[in-house]
This record gives sequence, C-alpha cells and structure tokens, in this order.
Amino acid sequence: MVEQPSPPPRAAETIPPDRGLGARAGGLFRMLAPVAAAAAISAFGSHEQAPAAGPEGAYLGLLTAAVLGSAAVLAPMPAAELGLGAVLVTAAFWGLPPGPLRGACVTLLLAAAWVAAVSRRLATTGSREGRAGALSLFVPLALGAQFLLRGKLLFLPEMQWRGLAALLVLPVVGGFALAALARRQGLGRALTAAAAALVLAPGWTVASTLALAALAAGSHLASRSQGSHLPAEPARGAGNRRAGSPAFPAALPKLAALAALAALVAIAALCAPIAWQPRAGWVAAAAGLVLWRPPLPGWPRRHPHPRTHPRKLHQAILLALLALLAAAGLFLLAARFGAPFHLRPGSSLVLLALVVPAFLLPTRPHLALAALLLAVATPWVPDRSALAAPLALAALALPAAGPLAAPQRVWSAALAAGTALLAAYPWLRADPLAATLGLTGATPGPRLAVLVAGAVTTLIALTALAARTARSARTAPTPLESRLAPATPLAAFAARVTPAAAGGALCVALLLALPAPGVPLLAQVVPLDGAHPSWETDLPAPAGASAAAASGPVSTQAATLVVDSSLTHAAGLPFGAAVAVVSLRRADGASLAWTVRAGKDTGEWAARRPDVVASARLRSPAAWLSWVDDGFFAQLYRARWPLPAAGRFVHLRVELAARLPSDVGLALYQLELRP
Amino acid sequence: VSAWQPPARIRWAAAIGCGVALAAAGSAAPRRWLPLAPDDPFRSTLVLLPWILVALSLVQHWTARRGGWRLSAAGTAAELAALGLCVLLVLARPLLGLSGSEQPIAAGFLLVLAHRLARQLRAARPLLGRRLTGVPDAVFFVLPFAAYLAILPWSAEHRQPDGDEPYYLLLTHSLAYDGDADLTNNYARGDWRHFMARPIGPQPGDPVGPHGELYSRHNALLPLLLVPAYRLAGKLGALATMAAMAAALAWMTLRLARHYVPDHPGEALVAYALVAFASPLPLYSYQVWVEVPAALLAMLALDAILDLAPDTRAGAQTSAGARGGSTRWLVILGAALLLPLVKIRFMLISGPLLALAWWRAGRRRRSLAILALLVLALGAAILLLNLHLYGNALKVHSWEEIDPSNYSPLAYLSGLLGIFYDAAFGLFGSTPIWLLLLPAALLLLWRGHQLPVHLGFLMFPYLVIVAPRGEWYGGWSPPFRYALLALPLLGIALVPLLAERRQAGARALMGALGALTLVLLLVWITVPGWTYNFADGRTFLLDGLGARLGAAVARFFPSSVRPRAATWIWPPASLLMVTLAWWWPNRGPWKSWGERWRAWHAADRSAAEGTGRRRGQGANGAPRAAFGGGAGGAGIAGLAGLAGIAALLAAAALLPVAAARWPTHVIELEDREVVKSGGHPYPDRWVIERTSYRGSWVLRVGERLTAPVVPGGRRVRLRLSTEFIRNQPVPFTLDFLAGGRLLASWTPARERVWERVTVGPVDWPAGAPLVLAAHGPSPPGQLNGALLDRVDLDWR
Repeated sequence: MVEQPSPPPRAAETIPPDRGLGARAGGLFRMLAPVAAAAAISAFGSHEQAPAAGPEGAYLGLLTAAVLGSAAVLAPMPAAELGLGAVLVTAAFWGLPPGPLRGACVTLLLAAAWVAAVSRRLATTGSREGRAGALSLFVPLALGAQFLLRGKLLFLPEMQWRGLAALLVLPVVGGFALAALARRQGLGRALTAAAAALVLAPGWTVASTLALAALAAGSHLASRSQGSHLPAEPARGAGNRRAGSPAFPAALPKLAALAALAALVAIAALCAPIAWQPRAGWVAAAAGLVLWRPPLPGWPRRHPHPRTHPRKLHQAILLALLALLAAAGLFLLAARFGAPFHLRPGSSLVLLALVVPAFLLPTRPHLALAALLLAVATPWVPDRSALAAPLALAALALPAAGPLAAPQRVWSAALAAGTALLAAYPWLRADPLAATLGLTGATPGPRLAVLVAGAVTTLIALTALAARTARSARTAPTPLESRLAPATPLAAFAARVTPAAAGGALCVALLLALPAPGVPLLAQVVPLDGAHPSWETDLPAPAGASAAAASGPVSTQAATLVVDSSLTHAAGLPFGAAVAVVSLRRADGASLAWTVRAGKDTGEWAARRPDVVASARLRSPAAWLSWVDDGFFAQLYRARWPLPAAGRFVHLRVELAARLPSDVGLALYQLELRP
Repeated sequence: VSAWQPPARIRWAAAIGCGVALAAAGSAAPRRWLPLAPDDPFRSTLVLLPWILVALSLVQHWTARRGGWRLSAAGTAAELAALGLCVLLVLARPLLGLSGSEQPIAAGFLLVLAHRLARQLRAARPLLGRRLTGVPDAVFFVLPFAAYLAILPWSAEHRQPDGDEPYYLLLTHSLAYDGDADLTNNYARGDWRHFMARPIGPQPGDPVGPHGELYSRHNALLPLLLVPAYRLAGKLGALATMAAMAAALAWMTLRLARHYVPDHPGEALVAYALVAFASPLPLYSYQVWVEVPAALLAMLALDAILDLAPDTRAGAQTSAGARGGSTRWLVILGAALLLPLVKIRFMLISGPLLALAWWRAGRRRRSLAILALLVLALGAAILLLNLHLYGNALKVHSWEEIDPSNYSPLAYLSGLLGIFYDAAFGLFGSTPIWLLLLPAALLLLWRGHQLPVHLGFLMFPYLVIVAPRGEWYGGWSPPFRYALLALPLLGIALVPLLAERRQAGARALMGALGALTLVLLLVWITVPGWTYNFADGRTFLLDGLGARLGAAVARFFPSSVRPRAATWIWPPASLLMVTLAWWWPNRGPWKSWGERWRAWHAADRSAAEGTGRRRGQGANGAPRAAFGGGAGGAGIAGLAGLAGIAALLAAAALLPVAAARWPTHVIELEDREVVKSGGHPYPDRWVIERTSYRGSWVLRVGERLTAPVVPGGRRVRLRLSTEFIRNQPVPFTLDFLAGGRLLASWTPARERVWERVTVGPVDWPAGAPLVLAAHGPSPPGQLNGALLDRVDLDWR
C-alpha cells in the first residue's frame, strides 16, 4: 500500500481564531470574570465580622484570579467553565464560614474549572496548535499548574521576590519547554512527562523546569540532526502548516538563522542543569543527550527510519552507561572530599514505578532503559525532584496515543490531581505525592510500587492482547503501539473501555482503602486550659443500634481513636512533652490511657507565625489542616491511637497533663472512635 | 450473511431489563458494603444513585434512537469522573476532617446532575423537529421525573414536612390504612411518626364530628391520589407521586407550547427547561402542595380547550376535526370540576376555564347555560357541605376576606409585587432568570399575542382574591405558591423573547441571570429549609449575609411584608434595565455599536462557522443553530455571557461595600446584624397571619441592643417605634447611646400603646453603633420591657 501524502489543510483550519480585533478585545473581556470574582471574594472577606476572614479573602481572591486567569486564556469559547467557575467559587466563598472547609471548596472548584478548560482546549485544538498557539496553550497551562501546585506562594504575608519568580518565571520557561517537547514527541507524551516531573516537588521547581528544558533541547537537537524539523511523532497536522506555507522557500535563509539560534539555545538548555547543580544536573543533561543521541565519532549516521533501527538502542545504552560511570566518578569524588551524595537507587526505582508504572511496557525500549539507568544513578540533590528528568524520559518512552497509553494517563492524571489538591490550601501537605499515594491505604514503598506497576502493566497487556487477538487473523505482528488501530470492533471496544477500566479500578482501590465510619464525639471545638483542664463524655450508642442494644449499658466499639487538636502558647515546650492524657473506660471499669505528646501527636497552632518560627523550641509535626489567620497559616494536627485492645467503651476523658505550664492550652477539634 | 438481530422492541426491553438489574444490584451495594453509617445523610442518595444513572442512560439511548443527538463520550466520562469524586468525598468525609462538608458535597452532586440534564436536553432537541406538533416525547417527562427523584432523598431527609404538608400526609395515612378521613385515632397513635419527627395536633378550624371525630379542613382529593404510592412506599412513595405530577406539569409546558409558539421548538425547549429545572417547580416536586395537581389540571383543561378550534391568530394548527370532540370536553369538564375539589379557591380557575372553552367552542348560549349550571351546582354543593361540616361555607375564611372592596389599591399592589419581587416569597427573588418575563411581556403585548389574554383571563379572578390577602405569600410555603398555576404559561411567554436572543445584551443578561439562578437553586436544594421563610420581612439568605457582614444587607432588596424603598424602586428599575439590556445593542442609540462589534468579530465568525459546518447537523434535519445559536455565534455569545457574569460578580463585590458604606436610614431591631444581649422577637415566628403584626424585639430590664450605624451626616434625629409593656409597678427607662455616649433616656408614660420616641438632632460620632439599653428595678417575676420595632434615622 502506497502511503498517501497528507491532504491540504482546509480553509477553516488555516484561519487562526485569534486574528480578529474583536477576539483580541475578547481576550480582555475573558479576564473580567476572574478579576470580578477576585474582587467579590476580597470585598466580602474584608467586610466579614470574623477576624481571619479578611486575610483569607485576600489569599483566596488572589488564588482565584490566578487560576481562573489561566483558565480564561485556555478555555475555548463559550468558556462556560470560566463563567460558572467564577460564579461558583464566589458563591462558595460567600456561603461558607471562614476556615478549612471554605478553602477546600474554593480550591476544588478552581481545580475543576481549570481542568475543564484544559481538557476542552486539548480536545478541540490541542494537537493542531501552531507554534504561537502551542505557546498560548502550554504557557498558561504551566502557569495554572503552578498556581494549583504551589498556590501557597501567593499568600501575601509570606510572599517574597524569590517565591514570586518561582511562581511566574519557572512555569513560563516550563511552558516553552513543554511546547517544544509536544511538538516533537507528541502532546500526550509531553503532558505525561510533565505530570511525572511536576508531582515530585511538587510544581515547577528549578530542577523540574531544567529537566524538561533539557529534554526539550535534546528532542529539538535530535530533529535537527535528522535534517528535519518535522515532529518525530506524527502528531495530527502538527507539521503541515509549516510545510504547506507558501512563504516557506522565500524565508529559508531567515529560518536557517533562526534554526541555528535555536540550536544554540538548545545546547545551552542542555548544559543549564549542570551549571545549576552539578551533582544532579548532569542527569537531566544526560537524559537530553539520550533523546538527542548525537552522532559519535566512528558511528554511522542515523538510519532514515530511526524509530525502528536497532542501533539507537545501543547508543542509548552507551550513553546511559556513560552516565552511570559519571555518577560513580562523582560519587567517588564526593566521597573523597566528604560531600554527601544522596544516592538512593532503591527509592528512585520505587518512585519510577509509582509515577510511571507503564514504563515496563514501553514503545521506545531504549528510552525506558536509559530512564531506568539514569534514575538509579540520580542523586537526590536538592531533593527527589532531581528525578524529574529520568521520570519524564520514561514517560516519553510510552505509547503516544491509543488505549495502550490510557492506563498511564489515567494514573498520571489522578496522581497530578491528588497532588495538586493535597498541596493546596487547606491541606498544604509537605509531601503531597506521598499523601496522595497514601490515599490507596498503603504506605508508599516497594510493595505499593509493585502493586501499581503490576496493575497498570496487566491492564495494558490485556488491552494489547485483546487488540492482537482481533487483528491476528489478518496482519503480521507489528510494534505494540500500532496494534491498536481501531479497525475491528474488539479493538474499538478496547479503545473505549480501557480508560474507563483504569478509572474504575482506581476508584475501587480508593474505595477499598477508606476507613470504616467512626463515631465523632464533638459538635464544636473544646478548649482545655488551666481553668477547664478536662473534658469527658459518656460514649453514645452507635447510629442504628437496635433497641435491645440501647437498653443495656451504652457503649461504642472502637479499635482506634483519632484526635484532631492543636496547642496554644506551646512554642516553649520541649519536643515530646506530655500535654494531655486520654482515657477510655470499659463497662467493667477497666480503662486504657494514652498520653498526647507535643511535637509528636499535636503541635502549636501558630507554628508558622514568623515570631513563633523565630523563637519556638517546639518542633510541631506536619499539619493535618491549615487555615488562614492574621498573616500566617494556622494549623491543626491529627493523631491516631491504635488501642492496645479493641473493644466496647462507655466513657472517654481528656485531661491536660499535670505539669503543663498554666498558659498552655489544648484545643480539641474532633475526637473520633473508629471500629 | 448478516447475523440475526432481535427486533428493536425486544432489544429495548432487554436493555431496560438489564438496566433494572444493574440498578438493583448497584443500589444493594451501598446497603451492604459501603462504609456508611445508617443515619448518614447521603445513604439514601447513594442507594438511589444507580437507578438515576440507569434512567439517564436509558433516556440517552431512547433519545438517540428517536433521532436525537448522541452525547459525547468525553462529556459522559467527565460526568462519571465528577460523580466518582463526589462519592469518594462522601465516603472520605471522616478522613478529610472537614466538618460541615455535607452541603457542599450535595451541591457537587447537583452540579453533575445539572450538567447531565443540560447536555441531555440539548441532545433531545431534534425530537421536537422543526415545528411543535402533537404529543411531546416521553423523554420530556422522564428527564424531570428522574431529576426530581434524584433530589428527593436529600431534600426529604433534610427538611421535615411543613406547613399544610403533614396534614395532607396524615390524611393520606388515614385513608390508606384506616380507609376513612377520621384523624382522631391517627393523632392519638402518633401516626405522624411515619413521615416526620415533630408531633402535630389538629389545626385551627378543623371540623369536629358529632361524636368528637377529628377531621382535617383540607380536601381529600390530593391524599386520595397519594394513597396507592403511600401504601407501597410510605412517605417516599407519596413524594414520588408528587414528583411525577410536577414532571407531568413540566411536560405540559411543551404540549401547550404547540398552541402558542409552534414555530420555535428550540426556544420552547429552553422555556421548558426553565419551568422544569429552575425553581420553583423543583422545590415543589418533593413536597405535598395542592398547587401542583391544580396546575396540572388547569393546563390539561387549557390544552384541551385550545384543541377545540384552530387558533388563527397564532397560526397554530391543531389536529383534524378539532372542533368539538367528546374526549376533549371530558377533559375540560373533568378538570374544571376536580379543581374546586382539590381546593375551593381553584373554583376561580374553573370558571374562567369553562368560559374560555365556551368562547372557543362557538359561544353557544345553551353550552354557556349548561357550564354555568355545572359550576354553580358544584360550588353550591361544596359551600353547603362546608356549612354543614364547619358551620362556615368558606371553612376558616370569611366573606369579608374575599370581598375585593375591603382592600385598598396599595394592598393589591403590594401583594402583586410581592408575588413576583419579594426577596423571601417572590418568583424573581428566588429565581432571577424569570426577570426575563418583563421584556417578554412587553414583546407579547407589542405583538398582540393571545397568550397574555389567556393568562390574564385565567388568573385575573384568582389573583383579585389572593393578591390583597394578608397571606398573599402563600403561608408557610416555598416561594410563588399561589401563582404556581401560571408557571407553564409564564415559561411559554418567554419563547418569543428567546427567539430574539442573538444580541450581546441578551446574552449578557442570560449569562448573569442564569448563573445567579443556578447558584440560588443550589442553595435552595442543598439547604431545603431556606425556602421556608417567615413572613416577617426577612429571608434566611439575606439574614445570613447580614450577620456575617455585620451590616444591613436586606435593605437593598424588595420586601412586600416589610415595605421599604427597595420595594418600590426595584419593579420600575428592573423593568427598565432588563428591557433595555435585552435589546442592547440592536435597538436604540447603541445600534451603531452593535454593527461595529459585529465587524470586529468577522474573522472569529468565519473561523467558527467553518468549525460549525464540519460538525454538521443533527438528526431530523434540525440544525444545531436552532438551539444554541450555532457555532458561528459561539464566540460573541460566550464573550457577552462572560461579560454578564463579570457584571454580576462586580455587583456582588459592591454589595458588602454598599452595606458597609451606605448611610443607615432604618434599623429593623429584630434583624440579625443587631447584636442582642437578651430578649426575644415578637410576635412568635410561628404565629398565623404574621403580616398583621409589627415585627419587633422585646427588650427587658438589664438588656441591650447594639446596632451598626453608617453615618449619613454629622447630626441625626432618631425616631424609635416602641410599645411599653408593664409587668411590674416599677419605673422603666430606655437609654439611647451612641457607642458609650448617652444621648437621651426615655421613660414611658403609657403602656400597650405604640409610640414614636424622637431623639435629637444630636451629633453622631463616626463609627459608633446605636445602643438601646433598658434599665430599672427588677423585682422577682416578669420584668418590664418594651417592644422595639424600628429606628428611623434622619441625617442632617
């Protein structure tokens, strides 16, 4: 069968939708809704009676303007998600009392509106964007992702120039890198790679930005080496506009100059990670080199069909081995001079399997292998975000589209969404990726990695098997990716069902991980202090208990006690100081007691206030929930007490520790007995 | 050789069977396996959810099979993902530790439902074809019915039956289980426990039988309708029957539209969607009110009447042999005779209906005589029965109450404006999108359309009696109770206006009012009790905002219970603004702006039209443009809609600023922004005929009120409306303070008399609140006190 040339683009596709003056003015009109929403939120917050409402309104107003502003640029007309998002966010702010619930609702609505805008944009024009269009897609997309993942940088009292630069400059650079990567690797791969890189820190950090920039540079240089600027992946119509442009021959010298400049920039981008952080930056540079695969002395020039040529594997392995050697050399050098190297090959592998579990079934094995080796050799400097480059490289090894790509995409989307939400107000988790993975009920580690990788790999294998069965009667075996053209009903069915199956499996896993419903004991906050040092209650009958059970002594079955609390004026306490004793009594009089300790089970509510930070002796644990107070994020903490012996209890008492300073107080937000 | 395929009907039956089996299995899962407490507020919603999902899926397949558009897989996937997230949030509430998250999650479920309904309605557009004829598809009944059932568990669990509802349900219970209308044993046994937690006793005016039997003063027709479902499924069964009637009423909107606006099927679908899914109908769908079956009967009769003869003025075509027709007359007479049996006041609808039928049927004298005789006979029978049972032909009402000459024009104006504009009970207050009725009415009158004539003819006698009453707002009920009968016709009245919706102003208006309506609908459904306002001039929503802001917000919104400047400013202002905004910039001096705007968008339109051409047309040859304005206008429409939403949000941003900065002229002392150290409201909130009392606060010795004041000048004169209540023979003094500075003291001389106490003019320190403090001796027993109604501030 002779391959037919691409049909000429139709007139409607060649008219950019942003040409008219009205559309430019329309761009301004689009920004009105986010600005008005921010104004409505800030105005309401600043006039509310609750003292913390003003700062919270200012923060959430700014966050709203930022996220919806990004959505405003992204959303195709009629941009219903933008308008409704603005109204619903404002309504949520007006309707709910100040505090974590209001923050959670606003954040969730903002994320939903942004995701809707991005999805619609990608569905309508995502892969057909021209160069300018790609920038108008990826730069606001990167900015929006940054606002969601690192939204706390928008908190005005804590805002610094460095943070502002991280908030604005890094995503712009990242957006350019993503646009370049998508142009040559395909939209799906680029977004999966971005998701893999961004969940680590989370958000655009210098490490993740430079990693993606290096990969984009490698990809660009590779296309240049091939003598073609067309995308390596046949993305729908991506290269057609350039080739079909009538002005192309006339502009050739100018284009050549620009191409040379672009090559210089790309080489600079390849070197930038090393310049920034030599101990870890070389991994990003090496990943870029793996994509580039520059012609080495003595090696033959590239095969005209590089994707199917076996030599590329050898090149990639060689480069990765060189990288490993470099890692070993650096390690020895660091050991010689006593500098810590932070090499964690096991953890890196676990993270690779958790974030890109589909890398075991790649369509570009050489990239997957290189990513694996680089991940093993990556030092976690400054932190695990150094793994952004190998993880993104592993994502580039996956199928570009089709049902085989679906499981990884569903997983990446879920991971990114969970990370964004848990990184955002009011959760503000220090490690949102681990917290997201923890939602599955398992501790992030080798076991979970095996489970996730196994599930994703099985799903992909089943899909591929279904498609192969459908086609085996009439076609010879082809590369894994091409087996799933929906030419048969079974293949079409697989294409439709695989994403749903992946999503469904994820939902079921999350459902299974949920704890059994407990019995909450508090309807409002209970403050304990010197004047009121204890609180106690008879335990209620569980809801739905039969009358016969209710007629006996009322008791509650419990195996775990969950305590949400915070301390006041406790900055001076030593770590581990006993602050309260919780006792549970059975019907027979026997009781269990548990000591609540500062720094371990609870902490100072104002631990993030600058004066407390400067003078505190107590190191508070990670916060469970945060809320905006007067110029800082106030915190409450959650502690779980697995009872030594589960059973039925009739009475609970909480009493402040005897030697606690008189001004220290304990606020109990909730006590919950779980069966 | 093609494989054998079963006939379509068998496949459809199999699909329904599979759906039912799936739904049954799906709803059994939450009962057994989901980690939910038995009293969890979402438990019954999750149990019902699979049924709703299957119903909506079958609706989609049915729609596609009948020629409708298919729903996009991406949209369905997004809805399922959002639904999955909502279910996860329901189950993960303990894990999240966010107390009070139930209502936001319920709003999330509602948003998913609204999204699905919007898409499904759009997909069902081809089912109406190019012209409305005949019987609308069953999809237009099933869709609202499924939506009403979806909200029923949440609403029914979060709001006990109220107003007249418990008595209808108790009567239903008695009819279902005792087979009689005697409620004596039901009150004694506490049968109210079957549908509510709060005990109820006989209502004032309930008849008592010769042997002490307790009957309800409410008619038994509606309870009789509810009996079968109540017997099968208890309270939820009865409420599901009401939901079915409400869905049928929505369906009747489309059926009636073929008489009035047959050439605008797309716009009729939008009007139908407003009637079915914008409040107030969804609010009534899960409650027991006679207005829903009465409206259904009235619309059935009207439809049959309009079928009697072709209507030449509207150009509508009715089925062949329309004149006469025994079935139609049966429907007309049946509805007209049943209406007074539902509630006697609906006789005021029966009369005009029969008169209209006579007019359309050829105006024969013999027919008139027969119809008049029928109505009079029925009316006389009901009145005589009432006289026999209650000793009063009008049950608890009097002839003076229904004598129009007993009411002033102001009472009529206040009642009529209240039915539409009142922030607590009015149609526009609860559902702002209905403000489009204002330009729609002007347009219909301008064109000489027959709809306003029919509407006026049907509703005029009814409104003459209802509007000036002290209880014009409908008593203890959701908004727009008494005029609910007209809702389908009001929806149809929007159709000609919606046909002229291309201009930017119309789009902006629809964007702003639609968004506000959606938000309010979310509030009314997630907090069902908030539609049950007390007739004291306050609303739960504005009260909540006032308390949060510590400022008088309600003063900017109209109230006919507590008339204020806004009550009289809003109607003319909204008429002017909405009308001008709708036709901007196509009419008037802005016409050139509109042309320039369109020129600017030439490139966008050409690109968008190209996209639109590629997307093609729907089945039945109905172009998508007929519904949504076409892809060519999407850019302009979207921008205008966004501009409308931005304007709405800007107005919202101004509200707290205005509340904090606008000078205080009146302080209603029972409002929530006034901080009270003690006392209680007077009269009691549950009092009947609440509007005949002055709403006030009882301030006793030792108590004080602190009201925020925004100064409007340097000096002010205060006038307090108050009544002294002496319970002890000791002095009583009321101090007026500006913050901590004493302005004046008042010692009342007369008791139980409303007085106006004037203070000043005095200098007013900026930022100081007004404090009213009562003091005096406090011997044992009830203390002296004063009823404080309001303070008028006259700034100099």
